[in-house]
Amino acid sequence: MAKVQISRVQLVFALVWCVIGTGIVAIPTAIAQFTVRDAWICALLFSVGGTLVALLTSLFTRYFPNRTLTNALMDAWGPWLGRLIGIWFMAGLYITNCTVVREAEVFVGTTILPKTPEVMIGAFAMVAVAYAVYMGVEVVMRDVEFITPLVMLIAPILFVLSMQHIDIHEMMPVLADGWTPVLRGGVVSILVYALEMVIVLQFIPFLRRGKLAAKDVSIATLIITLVLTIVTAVTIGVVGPATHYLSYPVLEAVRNVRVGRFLERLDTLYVIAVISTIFVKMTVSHYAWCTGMKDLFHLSSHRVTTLSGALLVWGGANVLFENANDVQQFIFYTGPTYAVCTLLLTPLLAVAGIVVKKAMAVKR
Amino acid sequence: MTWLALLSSASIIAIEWRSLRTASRRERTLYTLFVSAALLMAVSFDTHLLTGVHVLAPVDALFRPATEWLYQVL
Repeated sequence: MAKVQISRVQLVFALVWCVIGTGIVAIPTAIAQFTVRDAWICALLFSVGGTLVALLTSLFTRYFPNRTLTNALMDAWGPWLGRLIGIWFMAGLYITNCTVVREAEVFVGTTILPKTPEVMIGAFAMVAVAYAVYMGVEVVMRDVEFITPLVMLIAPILFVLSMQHIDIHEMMPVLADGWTPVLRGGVVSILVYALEMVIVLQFIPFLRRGKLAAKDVSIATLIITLVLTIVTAVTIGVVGPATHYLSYPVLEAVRNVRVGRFLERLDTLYVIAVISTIFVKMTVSHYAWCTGMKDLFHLSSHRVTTLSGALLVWGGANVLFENANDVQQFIFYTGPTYAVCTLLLTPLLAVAGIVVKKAMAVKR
Repeated sequence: MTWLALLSSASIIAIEWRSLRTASRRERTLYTLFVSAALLMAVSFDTHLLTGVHVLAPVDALFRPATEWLYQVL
């Protein structure tokens, strides 16, 4: 069987949808907790986190050009300690997956299926996710390729149409309250959503041009920063101070779109686009988790944990987070430092371990 | 949720029956652990066993104060 390889375009868009999938729903809300007028500046700060991940990827691929993060941990720290650190990373990835599934359940339940139990929505989503992951990384990336043109067609139309309702005064005066609320508003996007791109380290051996992974992360960062800034600016311009009280402010901005008296309720298109991108995020995250488990426990294939793992994620999503508020509180107030200790420190530990190992080998 | 979890578990076992027969002991253990944990979660969800219990409390206890400190520093 030929070795599956992921192209650069596939990787860039997989990363973009991985962040934007839930980011477009949660980031404007997170920012609006601290500032509304300067929210667009907070969205720009995403690039700081993205640059951090690009630097980390560059460092990682220099020492481990053809290894996944979980493999690298075991190479650097040995089978026991390496596995222990790997399990910590896998637990973090599992909680992230549960968060994404719960967010998807709540979003679909609130927007289009209010009478369907959220548990059922999650179950059906996980069936699709498990099937895609079971079929392998090629199917996951083909999904990304298929969804990209659809979303790229829908999203610009919606946001251009939303622009007719923008009131630029909602964003004035700029930095009236100083940098403090802006920096606080940027914490979630920098430390939670940007750091999620570390998931790329689980895909390094599958990349056609692994050495350019850091460059691909930078391109994805640029695209995401641009999209998030435009979306946040349009939302604040249309919705105004009410953004602070809304769970889905972007949805409200899109809901305002009306062309004459015959074209309205375009929010359905927005919901379709968001669900498609969340699906990509769920498949990519679950695939990364399954390959991590395969590496850590020397399983014969990632398929061993694909179906049972999907069941576990579905169960966890509903038990760990009782409602939408639980998810939001976790992302806003626990997520930032948890992401630093899991997503940022684990790859750094792998690199540090191999550097020390090499230095000790030279001394001997 | 319990019935759905039971149905899903049965379907998964049926789909993977052939590979489970040739699987190593480690793989079977992991497999059983995941399915049992998922079933346990489903039962606890339906019986409201964990209502009011914050399962992620240890993670929250470790990282929430640090995040709040970060917000204060900024």
